[in-house]
Amino acid sequence: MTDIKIDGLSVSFGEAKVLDELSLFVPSQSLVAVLGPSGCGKSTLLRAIAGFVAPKSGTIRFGTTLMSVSSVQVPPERRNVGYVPQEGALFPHLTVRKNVGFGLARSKTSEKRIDEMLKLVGLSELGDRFPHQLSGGQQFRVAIARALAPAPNVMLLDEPFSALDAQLREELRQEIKRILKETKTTTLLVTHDREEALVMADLVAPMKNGKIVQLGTPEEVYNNPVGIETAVSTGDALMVPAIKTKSGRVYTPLSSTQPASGQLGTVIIRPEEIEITLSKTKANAKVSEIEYFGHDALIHLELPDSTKVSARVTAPVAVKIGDRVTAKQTGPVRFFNKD
Amino acid sequence: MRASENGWEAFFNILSRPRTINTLITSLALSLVVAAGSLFLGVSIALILGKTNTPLRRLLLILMPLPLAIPSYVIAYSYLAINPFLNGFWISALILSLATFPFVAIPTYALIRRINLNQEEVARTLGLSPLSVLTKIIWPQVRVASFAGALLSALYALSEFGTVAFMRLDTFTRVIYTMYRATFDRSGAASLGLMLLMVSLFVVFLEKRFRGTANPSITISRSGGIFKIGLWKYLTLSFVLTIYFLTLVLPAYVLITRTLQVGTNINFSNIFSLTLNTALVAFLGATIALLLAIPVGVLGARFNSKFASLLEKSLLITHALPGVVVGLALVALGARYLPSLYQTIYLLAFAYALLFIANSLGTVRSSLEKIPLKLDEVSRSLGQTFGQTFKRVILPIASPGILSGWLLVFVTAMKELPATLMLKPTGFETLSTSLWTATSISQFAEAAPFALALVLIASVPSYFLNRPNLAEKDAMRENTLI
Repeated sequence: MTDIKIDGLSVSFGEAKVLDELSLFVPSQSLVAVLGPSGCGKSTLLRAIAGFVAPKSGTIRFGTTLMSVSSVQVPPERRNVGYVPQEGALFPHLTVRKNVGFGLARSKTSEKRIDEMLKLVGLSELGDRFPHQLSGGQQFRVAIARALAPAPNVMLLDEPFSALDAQLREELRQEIKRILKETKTTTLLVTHDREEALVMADLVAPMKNGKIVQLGTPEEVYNNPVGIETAVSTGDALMVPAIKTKSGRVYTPLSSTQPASGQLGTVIIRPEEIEITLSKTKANAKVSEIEYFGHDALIHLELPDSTKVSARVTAPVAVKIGDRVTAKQTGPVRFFNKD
Repeated sequence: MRASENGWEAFFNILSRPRTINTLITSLALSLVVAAGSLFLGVSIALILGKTNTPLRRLLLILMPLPLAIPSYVIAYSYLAINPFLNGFWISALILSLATFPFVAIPTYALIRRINLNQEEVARTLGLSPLSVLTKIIWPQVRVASFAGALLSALYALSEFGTVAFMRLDTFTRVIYTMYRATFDRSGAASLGLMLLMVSLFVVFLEKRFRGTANPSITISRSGGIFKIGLWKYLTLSFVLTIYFLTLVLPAYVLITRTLQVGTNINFSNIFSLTLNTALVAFLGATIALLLAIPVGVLGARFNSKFASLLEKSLLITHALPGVVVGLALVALGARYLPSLYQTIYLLAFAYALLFIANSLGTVRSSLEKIPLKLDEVSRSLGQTFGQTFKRVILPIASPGILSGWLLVFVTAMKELPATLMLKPTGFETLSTSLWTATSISQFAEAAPFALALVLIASVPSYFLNRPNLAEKDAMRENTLI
């Protein structure tokens, strides 16, 4: 298995710059998730790595082997990548076995490899079915087995679970993660679903305007996002106006005192980092609304200066609308200067 | 083109002759009346079958595309066999309207069934009567498709030869053919051919404009409701039955009874060899069309280039070419530049390919487009070159569609008349030319077996090909509106 090294990769469609000097490193045998909204260029990145899009400049390497450098491209069929597009894209005219064996030369060992792959994805019984006779989840497993069969250098998954329903998605996430770990496959996954990225990936790479803006473990990007947009893309985030004094202390409307002067900016707080307690005397907030989700609830609060924040509390909910509460910030302080 | 032979002056000379002006007026009037007729028949039938509780509507629906499979000149022949004195404008217009109403009825019906029931229910809650639902909700959404269909009928009327020739109506096609036969005036025929071509292209242009403005935002969820129309349903039923009787039952009755009348005098070996001739040339024509269409279709569906789309557009426009024009052009071309091909079935096969390649290309293109590009990409990522991908993925998936495109051209070519008359080698006859010859000299009974054989070999399979997915479950799951 190899790593993927991408340096200064630019892709344009006509006037539009889709990838802008993008750099990314996918370590060998790891699973990296590129996370970004639709239109940020993440699918183009995947297609450039697979060889379907010709970059204008920059390099793509698998290990030490150059796959793409400015004007010279290795054609897709010679890159040995496993590609799993949205909804699997199984060949409708071929059985499950023939789909899985599509990238293999016809031989005895190939038949054995197909059996192995079907067992790996738990579909040994369904080899003779056609794609239309399978459920969405089964189709997806076949697509994974087909991509893994030729023992690819790297696996590329494009929004793999977006077409599946929520419950199936959670089940498959764990299973696919297990399979990719078991086969020690270097994998790049692109998604707009933050939960998917955080749950599946070893490393998460938020993407913005054709660039990768951060690369870190799920905890790192969630707890220490490099920018406000990254914070928002990795989870619920409250943007609270804040002041930073010369001594480096940060004050928000939640603080008990306010400084006379300082640098204006924004603090990012996750709702679960706000603790609330019912209080008659030291209350600094009023409950304005409650969003109840079952396992937890989001308590919307209004501060005296009319700033609005919300706190995530686990059920059962002890407050009601109109209650006066003390709200306290507990997590790390993420201060971003006003530009 | 041949028209340039005597210079532009002669060309305008011919075009300004009173006879030419008359021909132009007759042709335009005919196509206008046919468009109006098929619009009326098509929309009425689509509404009756799609929106009312008329009895037998499932059966009537399944029969709806059938007229397209029967050459209109066979209908004309059968009317003549009943009354040899029929002729002129109105009977031609009637026959062509009957033969082409499915151009309007099929798309109109499909759209009517796709209009969301919710829209109708909302309209009813806002106080609209069923009739106002029809005029304010349904008609505005289907009329573009209906008009586009009517333009196809107009185009058909412009280029139809057999019907107007049988009915002795001097439209472009008949005048051109007559001039061509009277060998002294071939450049006159060419001038008129050019004029016909320009009118046809204009109609195609209009049709494209119409389709371009079609409303694509209609969602398929719950298809629209059925109005209960009480005793009126017997009136609507007899209306539809009358049209089907005139278009399908009467011609079929004439073909069968007249064939039986000839009885033991039928020369079966002659019919057999004519059928073989017909099938042979059509086979060659369909194959040439397919071989030309596949590379163009692949280029258009898989490689996004300006050249490909230009090539495609220029081939698709060929469906505006009337048979007489192609016949005339190839006669001129063949006689002068391709003497080795002239008077062979290969030139005739090439004419078929030219006339019907738009059909072939259309099906090739649409069956290729149904294959997601993702499949190509997955195949490439699994180590297959484009060539291997074409062989292992694209072709196997597309082949049923491609084959049905081939079959469509095959059966359409078997029914072709004017180009066949002009390009067939001397002594070589097909079913359509034999029908033509026998009818021209009023041997109606003798013509019957040819017509019957033609309808059987060409029309029955083409009916199954043309049959849209009307009979799908969608049509069966009807919601009742009170």
